[in-house]
Amino acid sequence: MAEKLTEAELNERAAFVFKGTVLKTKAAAAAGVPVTPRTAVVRVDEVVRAPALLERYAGKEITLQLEPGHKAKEGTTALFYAADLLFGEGVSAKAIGHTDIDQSEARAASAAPPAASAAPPELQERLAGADMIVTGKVVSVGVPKGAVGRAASGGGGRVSEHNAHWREAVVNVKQVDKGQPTVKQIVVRFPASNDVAWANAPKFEPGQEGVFILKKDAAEGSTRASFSVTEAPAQTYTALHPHDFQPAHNAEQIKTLIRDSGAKPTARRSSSRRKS
Amino acid sequence: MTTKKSGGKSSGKSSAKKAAAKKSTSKKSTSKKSTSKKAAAKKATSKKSGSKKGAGKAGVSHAASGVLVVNMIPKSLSGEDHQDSEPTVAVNPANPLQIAASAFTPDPAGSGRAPIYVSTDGGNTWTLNAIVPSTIADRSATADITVAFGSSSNVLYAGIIRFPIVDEKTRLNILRTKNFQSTATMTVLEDRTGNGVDQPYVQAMTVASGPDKGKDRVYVGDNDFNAPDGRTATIDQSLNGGAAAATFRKVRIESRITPGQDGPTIRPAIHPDGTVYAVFHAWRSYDHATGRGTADIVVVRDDRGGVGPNPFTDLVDPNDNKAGMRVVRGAQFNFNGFLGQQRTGGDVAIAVDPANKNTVYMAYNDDQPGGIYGLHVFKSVDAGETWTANFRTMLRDALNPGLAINSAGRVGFLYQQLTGTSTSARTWVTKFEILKPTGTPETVFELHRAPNNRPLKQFDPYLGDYAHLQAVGRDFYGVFSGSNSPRKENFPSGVVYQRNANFQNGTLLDVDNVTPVNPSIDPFFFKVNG
Repeated sequence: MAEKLTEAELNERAAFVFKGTVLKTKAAAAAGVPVTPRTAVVRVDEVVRAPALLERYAGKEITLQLEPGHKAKEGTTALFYAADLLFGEGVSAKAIGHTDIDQSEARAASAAPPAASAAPPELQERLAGADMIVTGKVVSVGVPKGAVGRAASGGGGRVSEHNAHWREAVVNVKQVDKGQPTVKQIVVRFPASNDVAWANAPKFEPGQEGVFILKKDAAEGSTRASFSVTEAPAQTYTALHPHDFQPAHNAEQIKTLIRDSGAKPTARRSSSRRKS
Repeated sequence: MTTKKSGGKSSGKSSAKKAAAKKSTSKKSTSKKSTSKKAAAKKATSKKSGSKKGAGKAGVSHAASGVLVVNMIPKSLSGEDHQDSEPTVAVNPANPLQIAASAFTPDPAGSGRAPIYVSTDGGNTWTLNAIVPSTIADRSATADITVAFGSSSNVLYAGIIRFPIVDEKTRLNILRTKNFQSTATMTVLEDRTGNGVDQPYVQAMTVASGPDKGKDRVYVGDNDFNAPDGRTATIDQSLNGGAAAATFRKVRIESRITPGQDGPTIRPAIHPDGTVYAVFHAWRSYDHATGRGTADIVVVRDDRGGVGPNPFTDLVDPNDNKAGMRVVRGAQFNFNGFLGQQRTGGDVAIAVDPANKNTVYMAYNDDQPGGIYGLHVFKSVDAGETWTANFRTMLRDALNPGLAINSAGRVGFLYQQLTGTSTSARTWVTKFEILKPTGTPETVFELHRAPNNRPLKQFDPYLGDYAHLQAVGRDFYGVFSGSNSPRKENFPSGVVYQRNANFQNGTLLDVDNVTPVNPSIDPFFFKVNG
């Protein structure tokens, strides 16, 4: 017997959450999908949470492998939590949980206005996990001193297509949203490489202004730089995720997210923030 | 030379019929090893080639005789516009209907595992199955991936660079699944980081006879920065990859002094009797400031599949009595170079004749005078002792070579060539050739062509640092990446799309079959009946 998951666990594990109607049991929505007593064709009535490529899947049919013990009847509606998605001619997935919805609820749900657009979960995760969040401006970008001389091939002396080609951006801090409140200047290490391993990481240029969502430099102690463009500030951070830099026009939204989420600022207002 | 093209002609119901008719007559006498499954695979190809779907629907078919080209992006992912470059393909020799493939494709569901492509109908249709343990915060993908089946075990192996990468130290994983259709995560057989490992390239075979009968031998060529003395070219080999606790031995195949390391391309090739060859880019000089260097193109061989105390030392260069024949010395390369939007740096490929273990073909790239990126094919008939240089005339500005030899001894050669001179007119052309015994192309299939500057690259590599070719029985199976712009002129040998596309106006369409989708780089599977 499969374990019964809590709602939190279902939300954690499910890649695709949707309200759907069971159209046919012991059937598959696309050719080539093995039919078993537990497979069912389910119409996606409303997408609740989905990967980007399934956001337009409302109205489409998918093949669900129902949970053990779920005796779905044709025509019934439910909120389905699905994982292990297979993408072929159609989508098939394994249901890891469901909540029955009666018709009135379903109608009410479908009539309800769409929820206010939320920030991407990944952005919220980055905010929650950040060691430091600052608003500031890039004043210079350079090659870490330790990498000078082998800059063309990357750090560490190894030559690989996956070399990061580390660069360091010096950022003048206007405001600290999370982290040490008195910081005036920080160094952000980032990969300049366009290789598949690093291409999505933010690339910084002098003059760039915005919100920097930062982690402590994991490489500190090995390739941690003594900066070659200006004298080394005390702290080095990294920005590796595409959400780790938000342009200045998103600053208010980021502050709201920090305030409203668990990723509450840990720091008191800095003097620089008060000035701004 | 016969050039197979049907581009520009009417959508090929008639040509497909001819192809089917040709198959029904000429393919009756196949190799003795031909199985019903292989026959089914052939039938599947024939059927698909003969099908015709209207423009505006999922696919267009206008097949040249004897070739099937399939855009591998599944219909349910019609909205995707990711750069799915650097593909490999693995046909299960025990059941050629089963084919796995890989590319830089992230898991659309963001499951925390990267996907492989799965086909169970001989490559006609494909499904994405996220079973590769590799993820990074913004996507579930790998930084490198190659796949290979055991020859009769039905076991699929993969060599990957696993995300996340911490401080540039690339993490090697060698993986296995006994059921590539299962949604269970592949088993990690080898997990190594240290100073980093680069570009794992896996090949596998199942021992057919003798005391090791039934055991899978797995060979992963990789550039292991943990190797002592900068002799980084490595074969990670397991003599029983299917064992519950399979172990891998690191075989350092570089016997000479390097400037600190070898190049990333190390490619093994296996003969059914257990003889294993490998070719690698043996660096001899490197300028960190410019990326320029020189390399020997070295071939190593092990006559017993790597069994014994000194694997891969059976081929000795008489000029210095060291293991590894320096087939080419001082080849010039530029690791920071580009050909159009595709980076360069020195590709290699190797294949051994399944009917004659002494016959070996090798391909490599070098920088030629005048800024030409040369692609060469060499041949040896004495197990790598001597070589016929430029067995096939050197190609200019071509890369991603794939070599395979079928059961009839016919040599298949895949490459991607940047043609044209003016920047705006440069075009990537992907071709598959069957070479005559003299080295000249006997048959040429132009599989794909697209402008170099459309679409713009999302990251490096644009097309991939490799494509792949495999022969099973008489048939050739391959994969390459290229622009998915749905235009007939881009597919002179025909194509079948699974994803929604309108070939009349050259537009990709989302799952709703209405919303336009931006062109991008997709993987394309092909099969040529040998």
